Amino acid sequence: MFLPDPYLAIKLSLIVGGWCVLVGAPIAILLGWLLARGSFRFKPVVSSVLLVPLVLPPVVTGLLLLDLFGRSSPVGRALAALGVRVPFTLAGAVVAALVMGLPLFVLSARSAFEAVDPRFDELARSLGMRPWRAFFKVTLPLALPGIGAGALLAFARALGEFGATAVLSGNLEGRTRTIAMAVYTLLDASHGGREVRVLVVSSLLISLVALAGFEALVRWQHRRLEFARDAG
Amino acid sequence: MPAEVRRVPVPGGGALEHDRRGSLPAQPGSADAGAGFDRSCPASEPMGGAAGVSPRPPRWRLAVSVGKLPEIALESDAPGLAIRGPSGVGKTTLLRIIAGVERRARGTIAYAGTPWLASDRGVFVPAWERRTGWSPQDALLLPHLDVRSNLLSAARAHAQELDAVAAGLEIAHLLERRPRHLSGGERHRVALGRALLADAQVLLLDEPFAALDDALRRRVLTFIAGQIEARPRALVLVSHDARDAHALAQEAWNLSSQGLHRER
Repeated sequence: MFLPDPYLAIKLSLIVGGWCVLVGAPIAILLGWLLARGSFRFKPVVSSVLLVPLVLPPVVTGLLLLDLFGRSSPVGRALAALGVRVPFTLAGAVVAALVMGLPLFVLSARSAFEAVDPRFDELARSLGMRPWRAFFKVTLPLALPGIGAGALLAFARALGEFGATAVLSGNLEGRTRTIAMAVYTLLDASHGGREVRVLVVSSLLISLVALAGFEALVRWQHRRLEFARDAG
Repeated sequence: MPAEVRRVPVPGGGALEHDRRGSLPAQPGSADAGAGFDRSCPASEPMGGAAGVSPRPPRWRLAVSVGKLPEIALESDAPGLAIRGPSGVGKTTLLRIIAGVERRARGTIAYAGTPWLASDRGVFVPAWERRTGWSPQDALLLPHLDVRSNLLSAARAHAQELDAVAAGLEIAHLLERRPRHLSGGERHRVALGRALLADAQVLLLDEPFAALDDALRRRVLTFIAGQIEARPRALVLVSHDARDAHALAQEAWNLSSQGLHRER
């Protein structure tokens, strides 16, 4: 049997993590802002549904996603008609990791927005900014470090994603075999100790860098808003 | 009726003349546009104008209530109003209502005949269309921007006046700093500058001089009076200090649990 290529797996993991952050950011910003500032009828429902991937066994989440994007579902057929195939592709790995990482991302964005004094937004409006402009010039920049921290969490979560990914996108060398998949595959192999070591060390490095970045962003946000609370 | 003129001393001689009737351009909707204000026909009196001539509305007409506050009613033609009163009585809330950021406000506000709020008719002019220059009590400088960007953060800031305003408020040496590296008095002056540079028709100043020593306070007051002279704007000033009120406002009102009442 061929041994998994560890460097290819690292590359795929970084690609999946990057796509998770890119696709997740607008969703996390929108949902985080709505949950922090909005008042709408189904807010408790939205905020609970969002947490489902955190508590559901990842394999079950993967199975539900497979049902949703499979050929037998309307969503899957619609995407297939557009030429997009999700199961057993890199897109599937991104979807699985995104769904698993989104709760952390949205919750971080929500608390980032909640930490921003709403009077900054009011002030911006009194300075002649329409709500959209006030959001992009004032509220969003002030929440951005916290949102970035959430992005790093989602990225790190995407690197570690195994259960949902295994079900939805499988373990295809060069296509969906990410770090976690490659390590799992190597556990069954009789040799390949070097490959495992490369994967373990690089996972540790990536995770530590992500966590250090997370910590720095949280402190940055805190320092900035601490000052704003103290002195305006 | 002779114009009542007050003089504000200016360093280096001379005086700024403050016509008590105000020197603002004609109000929109006024019947005799261009003629300034005519106090001989206050809006609070019944309007007996000639048929076909619409009565001129007063500059300010407020009758608002919000939450636990007493109903606030005010009618005035003075361009500068000073608001005093015990703390916690709602002076800041009054400014927030005028700025249009206090959505719980009920009642009516009209400035120069333009309704800003008429809750019974569902009229609410949003904050960004009221053209106010709000300087909040705690400054609320944007922490992610330096002083220069804060000064110019209004949507239509008068950037060409930046240097003059920064010099006048004695903050020109702080332009590159972040707000967290400023003292309380410096932050207030930056917030004042931001309000002065905004394309405002009404300045809303909330205790802007509280953290300034006497000499600096006098210089800043004189500068603001000069700014208003140069580009006329109405003003609502919340201040505990009668000297501020004298320097900038033509009328003083007292806000208490009994409501808003004219002092002078």
